[in-house]
Amino acid sequence: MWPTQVPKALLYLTLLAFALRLWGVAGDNTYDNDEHFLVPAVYNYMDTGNFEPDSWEHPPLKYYLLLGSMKVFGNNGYGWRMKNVIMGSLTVMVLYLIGSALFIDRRVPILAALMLTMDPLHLFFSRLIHGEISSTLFFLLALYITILYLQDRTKSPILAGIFAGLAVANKWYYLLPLLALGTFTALYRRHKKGLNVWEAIQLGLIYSVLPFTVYLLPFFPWFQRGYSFSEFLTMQIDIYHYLQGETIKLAFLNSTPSEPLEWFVKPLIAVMQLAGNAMRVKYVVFMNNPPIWLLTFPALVFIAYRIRRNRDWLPAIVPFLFLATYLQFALVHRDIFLYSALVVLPYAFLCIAYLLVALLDRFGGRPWHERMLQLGIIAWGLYLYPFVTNRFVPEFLYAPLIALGTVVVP
Amino acid sequence: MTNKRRYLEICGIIAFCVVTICVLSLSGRSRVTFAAAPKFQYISEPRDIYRFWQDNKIYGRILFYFGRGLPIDRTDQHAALFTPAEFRNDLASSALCNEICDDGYATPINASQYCGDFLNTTVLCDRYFAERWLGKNKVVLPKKISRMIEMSRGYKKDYSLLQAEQKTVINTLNRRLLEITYPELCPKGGEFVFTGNNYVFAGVKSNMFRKIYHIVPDRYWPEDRNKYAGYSGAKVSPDSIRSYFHVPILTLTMRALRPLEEEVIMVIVEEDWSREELNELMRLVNNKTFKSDLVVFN
Repeated sequence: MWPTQVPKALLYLTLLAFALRLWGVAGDNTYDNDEHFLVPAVYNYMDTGNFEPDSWEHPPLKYYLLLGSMKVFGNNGYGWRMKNVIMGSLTVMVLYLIGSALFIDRRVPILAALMLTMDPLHLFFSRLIHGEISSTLFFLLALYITILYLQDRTKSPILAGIFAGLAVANKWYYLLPLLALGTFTALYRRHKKGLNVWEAIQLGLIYSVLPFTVYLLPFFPWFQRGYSFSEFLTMQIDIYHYLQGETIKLAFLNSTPSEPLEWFVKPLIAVMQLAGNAMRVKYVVFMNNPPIWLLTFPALVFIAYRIRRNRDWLPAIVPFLFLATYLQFALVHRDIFLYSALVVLPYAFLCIAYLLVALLDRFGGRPWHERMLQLGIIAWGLYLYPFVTNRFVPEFLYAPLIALGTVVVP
Repeated sequence: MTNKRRYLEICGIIAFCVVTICVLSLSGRSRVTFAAAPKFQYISEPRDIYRFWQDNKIYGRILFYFGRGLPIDRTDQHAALFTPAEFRNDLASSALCNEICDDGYATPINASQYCGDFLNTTVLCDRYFAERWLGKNKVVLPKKISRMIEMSRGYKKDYSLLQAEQKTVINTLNRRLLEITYPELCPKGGEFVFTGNNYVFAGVKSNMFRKIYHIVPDRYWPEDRNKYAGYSGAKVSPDSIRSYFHVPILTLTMRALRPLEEEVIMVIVEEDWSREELNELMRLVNNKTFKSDLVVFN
């Protein structure tokens, strides 16, 4: 059974997310670090199967998404960035739907979606060209369909396999989470209804072979360069080795936080001044959202405790996917920059929202408490908004935040 | 869910996967082209080596490069900027310059000597040149130029603030527009400036090669191994280094090279090999241990 009525909160949150991501997106206010090579690479890849001038180690679905965006909005700032504006806003919507499907209390999805709507890092990257936004959306869609399947609200999770494939065809981040999602689905199904051999085979194919096939399809122009399937497999091994030892030589990026273990334990801010004078300054900012992100680990512990106590195992998929996604970053021996945190944020926000709702209930659960909390998140997000979207801001207003982090000289 | 539907899904996914793999793999391999008859040629100019491959309609092949220093440098390949060699003489450049200034595209100067540098630093770096050009000329432009115009419109920054690739787009676009406007005066710039360091990259870029074996003389291996082992993502083993630069590149010693089933393209840099090594190599080619349809001696 698919949702038939659109809740007002979902509509308002999606519209707010869209408006915040859209405003001034095509202007000269964006840190457009990848556009200069990704845009020419789109045409080159479609014409020749060659990744030049882009690098070769990331899957090519991004070219199709970018081309689609450019076909609709033109080969200009809108065309380059609108795909992330739209997909970033849709991510808020899907996160809300996941929260609604998992938690009876409507305050959880509203808070989680609100946190994502106002999150400075998600806002920043939803206005750029990077693949983290679209891949997160695709994987959340896979998760949502899986949840519907586990709740017997849809007959087959086949669409989950397709969306998971699209996520991996954008970024490799999702290999381990995909394995986790498939494993969780099989175990939960077995726990609830028992799992016969054919259903096990079906799930195995949906969460492995189907995503792999979807992953293969965007490589069509690459195959046209004369390659065979065995050479494709060799290339994937080459990519793995390359990514293991990849070093990035970009002055600003190298000065931003690159240690995943720090993401959720302390404020992280890297700032580079783009333009300005003594009064008003324009920055490019990579930052986590200190008051909210720092609740992640306590929230994970709390939700794990509640799941165990209530014996309602389905919500466990959220901390399970968080750990599967996050641990690969935390354990890898190379720099992982802060933008990779985007792919774990939805799970973190669901856990944090669950914790906050429990705290609200602990202190009486009055509606005005909830309103105050929501207003607080919005106010804090609006304070950060001009700072993280490369607008001119009064320097003194953000000096305390800048003092917490690293200032990079351009 | 009924079992019937489950079987259908299982069969559907397996069929989808198998068909996808077969279609991609077969359509890829079917594009590989071979020369009608084996050819051996001595060529010294990098551009001529590329043309030799081009004339033989090479596509999707494996290259055996016997020599040190694989020429896959991707820098400075674009011929957007004017060079003195492109003009017949200084007067030719000043004639072009005067025409451009007369048409109002640049501030008039007293151009009596070579003025390619002036054009490089003014017209070719002018982010708004295309817009002014479009205001004066109503012609249907080739697709590639139209794309560059669209792309440049999105930059919304001064030329000096653009990234290197964006600057190249502006330079190339303006150069192409000048070539269209002044066909008699403006020399045609190629897409690629061939040098001894980049002609294999040109082949990679135009999909002539899908894989490169870079064979280094054994005596240079200790020295070259250290150089190539430092590349990002390189997988090092005692006799070979596997890396990737738009195509897989296997750098190895002559000793470690094994024959392939598929015919390959060969480039042999003679000065890097001793007479005995060359003789041995030719023996292996002649007795078809290494099968090749195009061999270039450089």
